[in-house]
Amino acid sequence: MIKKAFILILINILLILNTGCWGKTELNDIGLVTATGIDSEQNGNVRITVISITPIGFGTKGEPERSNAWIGTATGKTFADAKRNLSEVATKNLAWSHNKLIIIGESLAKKGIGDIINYLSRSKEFRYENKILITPTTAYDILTTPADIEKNLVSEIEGIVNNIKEEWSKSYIENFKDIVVNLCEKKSGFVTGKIYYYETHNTTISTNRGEFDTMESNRKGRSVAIIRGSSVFKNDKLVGWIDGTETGAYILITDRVKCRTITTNYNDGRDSLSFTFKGSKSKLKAQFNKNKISFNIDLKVNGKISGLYTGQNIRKEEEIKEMEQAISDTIKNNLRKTVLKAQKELKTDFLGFGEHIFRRHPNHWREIGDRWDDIFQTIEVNYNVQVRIDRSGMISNPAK
Amino acid sequence: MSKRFHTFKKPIKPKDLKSTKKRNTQIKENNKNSLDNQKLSECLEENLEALKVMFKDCFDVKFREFILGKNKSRCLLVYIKEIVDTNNINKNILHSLMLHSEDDNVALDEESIMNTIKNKFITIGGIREITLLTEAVQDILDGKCVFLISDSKIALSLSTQNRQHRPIGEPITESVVKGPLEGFTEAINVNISQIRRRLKTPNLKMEKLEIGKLGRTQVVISYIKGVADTSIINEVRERLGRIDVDLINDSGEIEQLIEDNTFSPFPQIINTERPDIVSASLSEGKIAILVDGSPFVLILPALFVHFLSSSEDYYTRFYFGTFIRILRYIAFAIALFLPSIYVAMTTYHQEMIPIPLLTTLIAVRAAVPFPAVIEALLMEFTFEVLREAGIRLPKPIGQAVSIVGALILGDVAVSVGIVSNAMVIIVAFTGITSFVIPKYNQSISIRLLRFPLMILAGTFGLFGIIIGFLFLLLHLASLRSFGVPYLSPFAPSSLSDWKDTFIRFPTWFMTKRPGFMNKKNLKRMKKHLRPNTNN
Repeated sequence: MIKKAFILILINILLILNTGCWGKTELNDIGLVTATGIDSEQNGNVRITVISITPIGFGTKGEPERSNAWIGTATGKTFADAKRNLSEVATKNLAWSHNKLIIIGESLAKKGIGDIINYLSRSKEFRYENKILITPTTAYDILTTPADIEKNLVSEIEGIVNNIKEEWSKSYIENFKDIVVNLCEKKSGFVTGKIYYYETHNTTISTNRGEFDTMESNRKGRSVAIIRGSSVFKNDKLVGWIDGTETGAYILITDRVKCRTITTNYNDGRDSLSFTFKGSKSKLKAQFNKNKISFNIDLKVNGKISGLYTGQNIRKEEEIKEMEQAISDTIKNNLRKTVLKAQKELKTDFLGFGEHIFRRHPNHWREIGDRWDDIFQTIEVNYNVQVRIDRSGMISNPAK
Repeated sequence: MSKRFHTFKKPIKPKDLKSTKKRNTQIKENNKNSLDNQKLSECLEENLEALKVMFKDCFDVKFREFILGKNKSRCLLVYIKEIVDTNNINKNILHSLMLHSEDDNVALDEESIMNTIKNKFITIGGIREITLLTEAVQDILDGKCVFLISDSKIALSLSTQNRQHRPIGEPITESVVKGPLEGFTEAINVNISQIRRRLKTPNLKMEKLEIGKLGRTQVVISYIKGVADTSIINEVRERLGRIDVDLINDSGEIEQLIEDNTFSPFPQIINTERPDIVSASLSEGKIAILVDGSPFVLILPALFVHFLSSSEDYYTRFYFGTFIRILRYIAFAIALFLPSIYVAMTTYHQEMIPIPLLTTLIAVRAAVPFPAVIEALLMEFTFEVLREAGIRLPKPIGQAVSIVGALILGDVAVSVGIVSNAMVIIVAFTGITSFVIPKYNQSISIRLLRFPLMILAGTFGLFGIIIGFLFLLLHLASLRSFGVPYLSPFAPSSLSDWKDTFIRFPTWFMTKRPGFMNKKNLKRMKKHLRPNTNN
């Protein structure tokens, strides 16, 4: 009995030792990919570009030194092929589990990103919270832009992305999961951020005199990555770009506002006013009249005055009413402009009208769903914007 | 709901019984002078001769002969000088006998001489009449003084023991900030006195046993009648009665001979040095076993939760008591799993580590030549070696070892690149958390279990850890301490006993004794004892 038990234990121990640690990767062997760029070459191949972070050694006191970013690129017939081909140049075992950004070049985006999304969602390595950005140039160009002030380009772009998400509504960045969902539903287009770079002379100025002087010499021709505006997709193909104001309207209609500031003139253009959103609620409502479909957009916005260039006494209620009216007009204008652009120029329903019918009026959708792309261009949209100023910041009347 | 599942083990197998018998007869044969049941003779000379043969080559046994009274009865006093109180003998036996027996008004005729001596002369409390030679021998060895007189079949055994013991000191293994600072000593009578002083009730029973053929160690089973479960008491009696060994030096030996599952890494009996823990446990219906010569008292049945509670939990206010309890459970988990989780996450699940931490870890591990498992095993091994070295060495050198170990070895190992900084942090923190566990025998079991878990983590990753954890959990759930499930009051769950587990409820709230040990006589305090209520 004891002998049997002993043999059993021995076998178990040997079994454990014989597993050979399948699937094990030591930290020393890992190259952390933090950004992936995908382009389409002229010959139809796919080019992949990655930024991989490799912290190099540690200093005398044991603290890690600046991490080193390695940029690798390879081509292949498909994305999967290109990704494998990266091994030709990579010295480390590339791990995509910490990838944060996927940047797609315009040429590929215009051909369609369906295959890429398909591959990414099939692989377990890519997280759903990857941010997908589209660039008017190639992803390779963006990823080879040197970092400006952060340790590497990825943390820089990531910082911008986080900033945008929290307090700036002039670009909208979709994450990987939502794009997958959008593609699966195949009802409408979607919007995601637009990244590009421009040559700069003075984006950042160091406060340190010494650094400032050294910067002076090589400041010419520095390129800096920025995110502004958004790209619009119809199904999986890029159809065009929208600018900051239009993105703002998109965010308002789809009810994704976190924080936004709007500047408007009022009092016949004499005074100007900045208004910061605290909350907004938008409500779509579809109306069917024979063959005509019209939509009502009910938008309720409340917020505070963040800047006021006027001598008016804002303690008066009429004055507040007037301001609210001015803001609501501005917003209404933006919305109208954006919807028109979607209908006439891009011919893509990225604002979610079709989805509304699909969800709320499935019977109608069954009739018109197939022809929605055409019908969308003819729908009529009414805007009803209610603005409420409920706070004026720390002071009420202007200080002067 | 039945809270108890008494599945006691069969006391003894026939095979074992045979071997015990064999051993007993062997001992008897070896002992040529075995005098079982031999009565004391009327002739003093014979008795003296028998005792002298018995105590041949024992220089410390003293035979004091003297003559008593008018009829010149010969008397004999036998004792071992080193373990009796000589002053006591001189003053209360020799002095009173020799001086006062000459008085005329005391009749020392032959019939009643023993009674007269017993009743009139010997001024000692503990006195016993004995008729067997073995009794005389045992009493002498126990430090008593045996008084024999010619022409009497009866001898007197007089309690003159004087045992040297160290003074009552602070309990070393279970120190507290707030609470009683006295601990048990090696002398069982001192220990009993400490318990008696706390529980002044006739229901506090102390049953004496002698265990060990050679050592005849005094073992006392203590419990409160009416509170402790009789079936458990019987089981304890039976298991203790079964023990047949040469010598018991410490209660730890008894523990190993009576525990339910001898192959389990988890202790099933509490060892404590604190009389307050013993008295509190007794009042809850547990049973204590005191062993002479050991400052550790055994308490049973012991459950998992008991090993993570300290007496201080009850002496501080309940917020703090609860906080400390929860802290301990977390520390327990960390002490068990942290190195394995580190190994698993760094070798298999890098996606679970946030990127800033991951880059730091990669940087600190860049120069380390070993896989993370080997590194962890190496460091844990070194830590255990240092710990053991620190305990065994004399105190002044022990400190030097810890300095060399912790500072020099650790620092140089990191700077040379054998281990990484992160691993040093992990191992050091794990080591510290294992000190948080208040009961020493539970913390060693954790130290032990860490190693197989690390190997599992190194071979299977988190999957391996989960397997190990499930295995432990299954084992814990199947474990019993004297018939009480080890994981109660969680499994089988009895909600009312949860008041004293993760959370230590206010003292006025715990009106009932734990129900997993006893079903009757549960009430232990009046309800509505909460101050400032109008109830």
